[in-house]
Amino acid sequence: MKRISLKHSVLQGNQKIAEQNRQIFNHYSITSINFMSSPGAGKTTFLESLLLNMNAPEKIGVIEGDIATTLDAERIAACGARVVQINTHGACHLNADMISKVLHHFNLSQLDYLFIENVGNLVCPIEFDLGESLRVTILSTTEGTDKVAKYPAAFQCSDAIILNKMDLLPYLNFDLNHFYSSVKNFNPYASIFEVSACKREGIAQWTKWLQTKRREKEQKD
Amino acid sequence: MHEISLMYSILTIVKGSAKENQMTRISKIKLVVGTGLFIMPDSLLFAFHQLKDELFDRDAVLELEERAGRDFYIDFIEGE
Repeated sequence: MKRISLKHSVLQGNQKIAEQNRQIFNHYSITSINFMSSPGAGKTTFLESLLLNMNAPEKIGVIEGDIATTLDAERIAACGARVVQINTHGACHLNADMISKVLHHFNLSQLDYLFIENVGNLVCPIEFDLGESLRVTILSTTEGTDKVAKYPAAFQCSDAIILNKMDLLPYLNFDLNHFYSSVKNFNPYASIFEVSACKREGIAQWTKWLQTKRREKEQKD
Repeated sequence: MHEISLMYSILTIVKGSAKENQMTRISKIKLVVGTGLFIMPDSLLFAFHQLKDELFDRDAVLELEERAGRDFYIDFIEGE
């Protein structure tokens, strides 16, 4: 009987591929965003509104992560962006290797942005770095303010938090002040945006933030 | 249920290490899991028993040590 000391990080394999993805994105000056939310928070509708609000959709690539179907990819393709659907066949999150394997579907030298819509889940995607430049979590008003405290990791690791379905606010018992104080408690650095994706409200402000982030990174590099 | 994919990664690392160290039987894996990761120990154990193959003893043990924080690593393996 022998004991081998390993002290080996379980996620090291994913992290290694994520760093390779990051190098590829940096090489082509692509700003990549990992969008996370629970199912039904409005990730795809938000991306549709975003694509319709941004000039030059040919400079935007989208990766759609879903357990099954190509429904979201079809919606995104209708907006004019190049889209690749990843079906995880049961897995509840995307990982770096899945991203790496679909990058050849894009003309990377043509892209400014790569939007990655993760599988709808506020827990599992958090631990899997995809190589993204920015992480964004979307919460919708119909989910309630308590989700911030119940799923803190998603909000802690985000550069921006989007509160979607603001058009429904008058009909819901959603305490905006509590939401803001809750988010600030877990992540004082995240930018917060109020959006109604289906009404295309608040999108321009978020797009401006994204473009500023891209410029900041370009100047830093 | 990302515990299944996590266990797949764990077993891949363990098998690689067993080969490097000329081990043909694994009887124990000791894991350190940070509570901040919200990983379910019972699901990890379930995944271990579902995914372990002939390299592992029939009664091989997965020992989990939960700690505050976000550590997640294989501490050691035992076997022959």
